[in-house]
Amino acid sequence: MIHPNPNHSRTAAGERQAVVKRRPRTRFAATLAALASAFILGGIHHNAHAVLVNLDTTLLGGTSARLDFALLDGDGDLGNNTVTISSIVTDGTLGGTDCSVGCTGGPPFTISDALGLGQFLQDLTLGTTVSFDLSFTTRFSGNGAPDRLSLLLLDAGSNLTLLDTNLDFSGDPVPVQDALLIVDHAPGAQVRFATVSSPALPIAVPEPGAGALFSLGLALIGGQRIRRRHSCVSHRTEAAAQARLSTSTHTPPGE
Amino acid sequence: MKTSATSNRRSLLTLLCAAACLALPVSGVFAASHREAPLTALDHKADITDWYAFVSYDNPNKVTMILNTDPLLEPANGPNYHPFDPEVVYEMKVDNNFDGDEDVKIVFRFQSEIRAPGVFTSFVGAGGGVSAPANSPAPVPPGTPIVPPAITALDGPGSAGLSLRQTYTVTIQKKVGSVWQTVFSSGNRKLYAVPANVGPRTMPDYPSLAAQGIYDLGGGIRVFAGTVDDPFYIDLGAAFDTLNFRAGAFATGIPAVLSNDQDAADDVNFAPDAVAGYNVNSIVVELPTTLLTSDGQVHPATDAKAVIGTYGTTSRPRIKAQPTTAGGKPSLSSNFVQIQRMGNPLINELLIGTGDKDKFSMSEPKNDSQFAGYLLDPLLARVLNAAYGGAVAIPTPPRLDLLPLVTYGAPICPGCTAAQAGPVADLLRLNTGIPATAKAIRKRLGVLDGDFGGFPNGRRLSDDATDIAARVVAGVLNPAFNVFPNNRIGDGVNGNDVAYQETFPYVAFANSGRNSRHQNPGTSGCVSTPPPFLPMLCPTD
Repeated sequence: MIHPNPNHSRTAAGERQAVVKRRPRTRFAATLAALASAFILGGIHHNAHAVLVNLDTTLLGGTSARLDFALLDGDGDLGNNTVTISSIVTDGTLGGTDCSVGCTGGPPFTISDALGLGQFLQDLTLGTTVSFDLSFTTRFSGNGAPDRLSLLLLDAGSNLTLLDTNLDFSGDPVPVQDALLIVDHAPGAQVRFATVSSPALPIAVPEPGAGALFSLGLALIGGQRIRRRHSCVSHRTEAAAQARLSTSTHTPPGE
Repeated sequence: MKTSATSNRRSLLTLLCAAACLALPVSGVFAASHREAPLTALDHKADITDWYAFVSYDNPNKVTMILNTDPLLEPANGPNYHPFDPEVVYEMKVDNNFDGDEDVKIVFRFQSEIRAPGVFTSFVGAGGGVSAPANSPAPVPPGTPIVPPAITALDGPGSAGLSLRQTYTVTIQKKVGSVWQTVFSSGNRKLYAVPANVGPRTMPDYPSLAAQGIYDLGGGIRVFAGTVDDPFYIDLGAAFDTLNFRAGAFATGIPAVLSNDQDAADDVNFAPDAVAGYNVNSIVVELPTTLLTSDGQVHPATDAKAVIGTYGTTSRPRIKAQPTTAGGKPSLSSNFVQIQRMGNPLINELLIGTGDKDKFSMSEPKNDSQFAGYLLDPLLARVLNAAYGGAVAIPTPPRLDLLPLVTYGAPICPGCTAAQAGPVADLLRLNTGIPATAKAIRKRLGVLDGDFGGFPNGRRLSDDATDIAARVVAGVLNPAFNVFPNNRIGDGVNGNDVAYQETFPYVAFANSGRNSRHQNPGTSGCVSTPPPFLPMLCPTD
């Protein structure tokens, strides 16, 4: 199963920077609301520049595998993008990493398409889950096609994909085959997750109904908190204004 | 009885002749492994043409392995000729514990340098060098060196004309548990790949130049890499023209069926060798047997531990992003995907269906049970059976007689138990306890002719893989089918057009570009030579 973890409150670096000036409680509420919005909007499509991804690898437990994050250029040098991968967590065993091609850091690892290809590889022995944060930029020069991030789950020995998925766009300007997720880097970029895979690992996302219901709940909670705070602020502001008004001007009743 | 037998044989021959004259809609072919899969048909540099492994001729405690890639290289094809591909990882792999998975691997990576970027060709040189004459137009003053001296060395003096020069690294790794440990690395030592043989002016003593590419790395390890004569031999044109073999080349009068005399005439050709005069890129390594066996010891032939399974692979970066600036360099993924592999010289070529060849090429031998269907009822056998109107009887599937090629067992591994047979895996199995056969008694048909130093116990350069493979597919490993005509099937090409070397690196050095030549379809080989066929090579046109 692959999905953003709705129970996880962490956000990736990009979003942290974007919201750093917000008050903590407001940020928490906004995050809940954003997660909810993401579910509601597409179920498996997420308008976001940062996302927490969780893979359910139960059926491949014990397999020696490799996560392959590849960012390929599609639009030339004017629209370079970056993707940061952080907080990789698994109940399996993390192995070595490769950050030698268009990649810096460690950890977190940031890949760029400035050289045409950025790639980060994480070896691991799969357990039941793998999660990580992704944050990314969304520049597009308007020429060619948007840069594309793809995540593949590979056999660590052969580098052949362990999964046959429906994210298979061999004929695209920036081709990809059997990806678990892709991001086409342009304003309003969406993370697209594979919804079908075979034969080894069925990729699941929350049931649309459950997801929608859960999302609605999250939205209500988030919305309520925001509204409550806004309401408090409004009440306080209104009271203060009224107090000021009452001290500066006296209006006789009935006028 | 004799009359009856003669009559039966005559009837058989008549039937064979009649059948051979029919245009049959057959699709299988005898084939070399040159460009046999769709993927490598488009990727010559990663195309493995042949894979060899044998006990070294001059040392029974060493094994020589040869990985040939990049097929049918025209010797005159300048100006860049035939460098190895720096993007390709070339590997030789060895299984030593009967599980079909590699336990030892030898990894080769190449790098290119352009030493004279202003020169239009990769290799240039003449005599002691050519300088600008007295009437040289300005701004080049008379006496200015224009053409460097002839190329006589891979490095240092005499190498100035070697503009496109390649170096390579060698790494040997052994698997300990699930971890690969490097047991040898050539490190920063400069190992130069031997360039193509441009011609006598540019490279006046090519054998001497090529011999400089033989490196002793210490520890009993020797390596060589470079362009060489393609050691494979076959009537390729006839084979691929839907088995349209040349009736006139065979004393039996039956296409692709040799007479006894022809069959016994090793190194004599009765049909043109389509590979004659072509080059190939070759990587050769010799190393102690103790580096390859599971316990680091040399074992007698009767001990299962003497037997190893070998294969070669080529791999490419999984992703390549072309440069977006003119003259820029591509970005290459740091993880590699296998493009091709080769163990036995016949499995992918002769048995695997074209629709699955790429899948086979990119798979690992330990998973070859998925291809067992091709192996246990090979289409080629049915083609042979049909092409000769039933005269070439074949065993009934499942073809268990072919298992010795893809599992560990007798005759290659007489010491193997049933538990050591391992999975079905296309590995070239070699019993390192069987010493090399002396040249005088070496047989092109290897084990089929009682020479256990050759294919399918490993494979030597001189082994006639085409004839052996065709006969094996026709069932000759089953004594009931080791009969005429099954055991006389052949293409009429019994040997290479040039002699191999008897010492490391064994391959013949590259054919000359200036004086390149091939055999024309009309080259009739030695068919006109009357029995007993004097040992002579076919003429070349």
